[in-house]
Amino acid sequence: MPSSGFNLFLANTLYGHDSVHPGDTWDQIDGTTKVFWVPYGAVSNCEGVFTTWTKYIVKAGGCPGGFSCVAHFDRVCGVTTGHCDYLKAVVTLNSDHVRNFATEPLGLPRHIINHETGHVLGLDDPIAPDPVTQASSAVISPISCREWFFGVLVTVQSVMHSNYYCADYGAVNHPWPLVFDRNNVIAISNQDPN
Amino acid sequence: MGRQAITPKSYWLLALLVAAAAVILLLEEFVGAQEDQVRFARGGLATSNRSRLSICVDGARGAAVAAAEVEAISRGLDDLFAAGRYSLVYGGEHLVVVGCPPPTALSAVPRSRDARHGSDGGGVYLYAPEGPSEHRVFVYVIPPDVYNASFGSEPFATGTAEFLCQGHECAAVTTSLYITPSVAANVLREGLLDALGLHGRVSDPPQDPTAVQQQREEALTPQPLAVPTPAP
Repeated sequence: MPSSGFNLFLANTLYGHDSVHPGDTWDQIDGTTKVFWVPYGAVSNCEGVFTTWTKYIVKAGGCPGGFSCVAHFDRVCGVTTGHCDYLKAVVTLNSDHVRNFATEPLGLPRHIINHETGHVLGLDDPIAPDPVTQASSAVISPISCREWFFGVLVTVQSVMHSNYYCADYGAVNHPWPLVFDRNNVIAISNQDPN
Repeated sequence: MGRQAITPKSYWLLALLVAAAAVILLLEEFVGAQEDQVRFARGGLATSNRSRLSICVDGARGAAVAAAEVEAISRGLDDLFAAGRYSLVYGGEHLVVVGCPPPTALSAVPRSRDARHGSDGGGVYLYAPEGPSEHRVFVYVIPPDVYNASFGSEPFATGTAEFLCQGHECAAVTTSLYITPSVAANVLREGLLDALGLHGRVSDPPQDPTAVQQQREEALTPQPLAVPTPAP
């Protein structure tokens, strides 16, 4: 069924490969169906994978603190790998964050959806401005706004490094996941439980 | 050598030292709090405050948990881990204790498994400085009539008991398992496997890739604008 309004914007953000920014979505990030979005009501065509889904909700006021947020649930573990992950997630979008989706195609609404979806796929927020030794909860994810590069601290550009966390270090609200982000998700997915 | 007079300059110096000491103490407190904060963990235990698999058992809604039931759960867990199959996920040590926090997933009408596990399924949301329980699973023994009202004919029922939140990201870290008294050993085994996330793959049936692609394309197709019918 054809979509309208925000549903169309969301579908385009997740797997549209549209004319605004072709090829930069999380969908089919490694050229395969490793990450492959299908609309509600359809079932996966990937035989042998876990039944998994993500639900997106737009809610006035969002989550506690006024954030948009993610809740992961249905944790499963691979007995041969020891790796655990979540099968399902609910993304709650603060209606204020996505209100201008029609007029700001590369603005906050697109960033927020891709940032929260980054969490769904296993990426973390940065936890410090500069490199730290503390272990991240995500399998692979930049955990600081800046990293050392040939002896110089440079800002890590990532859809997970929102203005909210890293504005003082030159980060911007990227509308789309970057190659760096997508490669991290590919690395995470290669550790799937089995 | 005569006594040195205490000048106003000395008072300022003293005040400065006291202030500096206070700032250092505050910083240590803050850093300590950050280090103490419970975080997500990668293995089966799910959080950084758990060092071994601990499961609590309790009666709820009028049912008391009998020693035999605790023993059955403990034995069921021992059997599960006997072959070492799950040690990579949960380590080698596990224990069962009596006494859990109150249950959250009992309801007047049966709800689906996804609804009980999901973000509005009744699980408690924990933000720092609050941390999750030391127990990975809460097992509740409840009377059959209460069980039937909440879970219908399911042999056992699981739900999310606790979500741990870091910033704006929350994850289910504690599972509740509901059973009736004198539950069969094989049902208990399945329930424990489900609560511990050890059930293995559950697959969707394969679907025609062409049909899936068509559904994706339809969702990406803008809805045509409604054209008003011209007046006759």
